[in-house]
Amino acid sequence: MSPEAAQEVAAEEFARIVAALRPQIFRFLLSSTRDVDLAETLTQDCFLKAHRNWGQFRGESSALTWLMRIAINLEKDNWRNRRLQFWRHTRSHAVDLDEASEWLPSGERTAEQQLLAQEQLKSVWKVVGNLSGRQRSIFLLRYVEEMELNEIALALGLSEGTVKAHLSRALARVRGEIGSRV
Amino acid sequence: MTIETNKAIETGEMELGQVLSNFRQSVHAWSDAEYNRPRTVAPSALRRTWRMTVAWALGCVLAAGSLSGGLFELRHKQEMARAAAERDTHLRQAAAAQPAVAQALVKQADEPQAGVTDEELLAAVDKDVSRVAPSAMEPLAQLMDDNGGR
Repeated sequence: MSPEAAQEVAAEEFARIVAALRPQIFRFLLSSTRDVDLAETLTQDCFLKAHRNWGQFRGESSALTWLMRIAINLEKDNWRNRRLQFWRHTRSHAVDLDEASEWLPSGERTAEQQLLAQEQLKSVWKVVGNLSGRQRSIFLLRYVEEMELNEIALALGLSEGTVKAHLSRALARVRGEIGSRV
Repeated sequence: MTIETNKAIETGEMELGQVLSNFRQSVHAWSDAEYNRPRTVAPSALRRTWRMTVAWALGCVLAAGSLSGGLFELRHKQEMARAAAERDTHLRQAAAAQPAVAQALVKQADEPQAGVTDEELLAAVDKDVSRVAPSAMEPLAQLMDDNGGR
């Protein structure tokens, strides 16, 4: 295969991956930041970075795990930059807990059930907001993206045991918050 | 553990599972809605007008500052040139009015003081500076002379 043809095949493959995984990366970044604009920007950056380094992707992990790793690092960098630039008036577009909890799963529910579900969602968002960056990523990757523990470990560069420990602590906090509300 | 405790744990875990499932569905619904939302990139007219106003105001301030600075510099240079010309004219007039004095001054300034050694110059300075101090006993001696004379 000529280099031009190989390049074309790689570009096609990358385009297919972007189309398939972009919503998932956006969703993870949205749930991590609760900021739509920031999530969109970081998603763009993530795929830009992935495109630049696509040639170095060896396929040792899945494309999703690789992209998640890039997304997590970008989010971490963004958080670090914001913290370092504390003197700048950086406007945060993050939605508050009430707004984030308005998105209820569809289904036949009474008003009372909807109210209860909304309160529970608010509790979970509150816990997620108070988790450390690493615990938040693990919790969201497991319970929102439904990734396997070994995939999460690969995406974060941690051992599976560490991921389990973080997840257990995060769950304990969610359980505690829900228990205190009910 | 009693059966009641086991049931409570199971109920708690079921509730937690339900909450986490609701959370996942909620995030998915929110994300889908935001992902498929049509995006507009045109900035609002008010913001654009405001930006234009600020840009024009800053531009005007900069232009006025540069212009006034240039004018001030030009005027300052003109003033300095005129003062120098006036001073030059005065000197020429003074020199024309007193040619002898001017020539003498010029000659004195031009001629080196030849033949005067350093010692002589210092002695002359000492002589100019020194003065005769009266003796402390002189007034009394004068009185004695007066008395003796009488």
